[in-house]
Amino acid sequence: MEYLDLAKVENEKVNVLIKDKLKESNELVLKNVNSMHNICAGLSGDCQVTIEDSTGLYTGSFLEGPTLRIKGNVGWYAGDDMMSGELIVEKNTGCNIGAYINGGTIVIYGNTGSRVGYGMKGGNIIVCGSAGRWAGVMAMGGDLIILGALGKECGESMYSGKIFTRDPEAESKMGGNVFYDTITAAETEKLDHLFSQYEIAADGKDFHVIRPVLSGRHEYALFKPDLKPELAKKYFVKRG
Amino acid sequence: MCGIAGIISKQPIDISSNLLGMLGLIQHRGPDASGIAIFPKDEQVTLRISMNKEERIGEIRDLIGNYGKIKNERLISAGESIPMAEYLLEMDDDKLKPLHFAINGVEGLAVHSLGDGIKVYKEGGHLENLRDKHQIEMQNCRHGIGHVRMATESVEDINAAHPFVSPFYPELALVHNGQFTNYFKMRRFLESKGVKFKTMNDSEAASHLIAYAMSINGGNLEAALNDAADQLDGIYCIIAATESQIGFVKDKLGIKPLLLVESDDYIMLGSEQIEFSAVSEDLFAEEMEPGEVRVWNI
Amino acid sequence: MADKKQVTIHNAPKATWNKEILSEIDYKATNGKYRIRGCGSPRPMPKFDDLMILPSQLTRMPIDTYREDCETRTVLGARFAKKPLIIETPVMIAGMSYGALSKEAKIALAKATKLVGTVISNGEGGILPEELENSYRQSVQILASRMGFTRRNMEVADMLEVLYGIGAKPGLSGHLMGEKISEEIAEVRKIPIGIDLHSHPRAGDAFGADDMVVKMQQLREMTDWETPIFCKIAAGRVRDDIKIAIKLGFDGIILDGCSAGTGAAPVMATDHLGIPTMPALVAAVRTLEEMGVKEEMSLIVSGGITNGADLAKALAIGADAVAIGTAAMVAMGCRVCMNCQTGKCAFGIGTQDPELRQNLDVDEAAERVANYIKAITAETVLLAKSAGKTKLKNLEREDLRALTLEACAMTGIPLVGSDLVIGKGFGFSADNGL
Repeated sequence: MEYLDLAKVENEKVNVLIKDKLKESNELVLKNVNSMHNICAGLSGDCQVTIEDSTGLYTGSFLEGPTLRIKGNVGWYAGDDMMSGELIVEKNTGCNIGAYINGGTIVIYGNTGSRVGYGMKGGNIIVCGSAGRWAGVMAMGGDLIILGALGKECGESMYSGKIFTRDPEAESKMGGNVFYDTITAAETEKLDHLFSQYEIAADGKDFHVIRPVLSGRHEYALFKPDLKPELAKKYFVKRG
Repeated sequence: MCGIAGIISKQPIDISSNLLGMLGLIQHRGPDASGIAIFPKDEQVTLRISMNKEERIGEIRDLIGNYGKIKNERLISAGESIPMAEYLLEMDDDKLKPLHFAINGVEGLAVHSLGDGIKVYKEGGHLENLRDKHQIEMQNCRHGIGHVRMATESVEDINAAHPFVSPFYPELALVHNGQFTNYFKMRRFLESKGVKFKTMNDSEAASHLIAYAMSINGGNLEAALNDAADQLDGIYCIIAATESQIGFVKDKLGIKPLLLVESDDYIMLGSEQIEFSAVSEDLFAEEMEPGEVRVWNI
Repeated sequence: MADKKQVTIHNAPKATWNKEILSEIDYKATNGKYRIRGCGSPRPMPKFDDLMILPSQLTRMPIDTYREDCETRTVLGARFAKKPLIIETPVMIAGMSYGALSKEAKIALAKATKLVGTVISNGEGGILPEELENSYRQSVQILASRMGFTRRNMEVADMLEVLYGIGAKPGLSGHLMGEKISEEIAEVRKIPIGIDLHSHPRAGDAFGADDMVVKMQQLREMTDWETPIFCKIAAGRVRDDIKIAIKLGFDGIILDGCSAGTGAAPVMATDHLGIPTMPALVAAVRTLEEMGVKEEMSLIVSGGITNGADLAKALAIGADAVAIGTAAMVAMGCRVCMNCQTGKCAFGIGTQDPELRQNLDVDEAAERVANYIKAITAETVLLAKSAGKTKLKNLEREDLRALTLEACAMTGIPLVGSDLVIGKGFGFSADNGL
């Protein structure tokens, strides 16, 4: 186990130091990250990095292989374009987490902001708390599992992939071109396996699935008139 | 494009140090200029004014003379930008707006702040320039706003730095992150109401728009911010404050970040989580909803 | 000596003595009078095509074409009218008379307005009852001829247009051929059948602006100050005309450019009177701003509007809405053969012949016009969103650049690339080299 105190390190030098330290041991703890950006961006290999406090933007972007655990909060765009590995956030996150993720697993034990899983293509994103608006917007694959309350327009324009929810009001919070479906046995099993792996107290069979509509997707109307023909003057004619 | 900050303290403290600390952590969001507005209540009126040439100082003294008495004058030399002066004035409250309009109407002069409860400090370049050039004294008050700027569609001159003020409502200051897409229309409308623009920065339009709304709605910041949300087009987060109110508006598309955190001693607003660590350790900030408006009374 | 081969000589195409000119001369030599023709001038005119719209890229963000909204609702006539006209798209159907058009065409156009939420103008000569019955909102014209116009018309109007001229034949007395005056038309207009109609050029109840000021007060009283009253003028001395319109207290202006259409007009009039829509619009906006009334007065332009790009650019320059005439007819099937004056429209649109009228299926035509309006409104939305707007009315002149030197000089909008401004610049981009 190695340690790095980043209190006096400039943001641009952090990742180089991390990679160097990981040559000495494949377990590393970072202290005093203090919300710096791009922490462990592009990190690959079989290692474990733990961050004791909070990070800023782009934590673990393009991650390929490592397990990254943050004990504090995480800023916007964490785990974007991730290839494989694990990104585990013990508290809460900003918006657009896991954008364009290709593979691997992101677990957020707290809440996440809007647009989680923006254009996600693979992998798993598990949100134990609530998600903001537009969760899973334009997803092209992968599994997004949200245990808490959904925000509005969930799954807007998904092309492929699944959003698992147990929000009782999920049906009224869906975006366009998706439908609300029951969960299959295989999917339930996968969820239970993940929950057990990450020590999440939840039951797969409580979930429903939001899936993309594959035919007859609604045509987006650019012009949306709100017709009120009854207000025409001819109906209110006064004489004299 | 920019970074913004706002802070409300339950007790009066040295707000400017806190703001500068917060802004220091988001300097990367805007290297072109920085600025803060704080609201310490004073006996006298402070005028902070920029001029395009030092020679104009006589003209400024004459102009002020029509509205009040100069008690103290401190010149701030140009350095890399343009000369400024800070005045302590003795004048009646009802002369503040006319003086603000009078200076606004003169080419080459710009009010940075005018009032007995508002002070704006702004400068080009990094935060060090702001600190070094302006000698911001420690002044206790309960709230303030700050900004670091990355110029988008206008040039980087000191008058174009935020916070902005407006003669329509002198005690209002605001900071803005984003870009309006109907700035020119707004500017034409506001110019027809009698204000002169000093820059081509779209944020200046927001200050006049909100100040104008407040001047006709009896000083209601929340209603003015709601109006702004309807009239301003584009992407934006705005934090606006007067001596007695501070609030924000976030655009309906929810693209630019605005975080809020409340602790026992502080309420803080900002563009990035990291800002808050300047004041308090490890607090989780919530992202505000698209289209949200919220105002606090001080 | 070898035979000299026959060489075929090809002369350059005749610029002056081409076949169009020759046929015009033949017509005049045969008939001793000038030719009358339908539709607008075919001459090439400077158009909105000569302007480009700037998209959002780095400095500003585009709006999602599909998933984020852009408001198209338009409010007209709010200057003094207590009940301004609210329509769902900034496209209205221009005034085309029942007489110039068949009953079927008028009904189809009215039905289309109900499908998209806009207003249709009755045109000259009274209101066809079926048009009024089917329209979403009704605009009523008050013309010099005043045929078929009674107090009852004012009562049902959602908007009034006081007509001074139309772009196709401004300053001329109106003309309706006897062949087109059927029994029904005669009934609606309250005139005899079969006589050629030559209308008044000037309104008999207001000779001049000085009288009109007083008349305007009267119109307001008659309408309880509720109904928006517009002034429709052909684009000519735009600045001077609009200044008077402002002083007369109109709620708005409808400005008809010289390429606008009509049922029948002398060729010389359509081809040589008036100025094109685009430069006229710029002049109008400059005048309204000079007089400090741009925010209050509504401005509608017409004359050659074909698609959403025209609409977007017109809005950006400063129009609040556009009116379509020819384009709506084309949507119904018209091919702009320019023979409306014969009354033999094969499509049943510009004719009173009972047999030819059968060729127009009213419901199909209504749907086609509604489709067309929906499509061009969507086109405008598309362009506005690219420029970063969530409301069509937020399009501004600084979103435009001119493609040609002529357009640059005519409008004051900077030239693409160099941002050259010729003459008095139009907008801040012109003043600041942005």
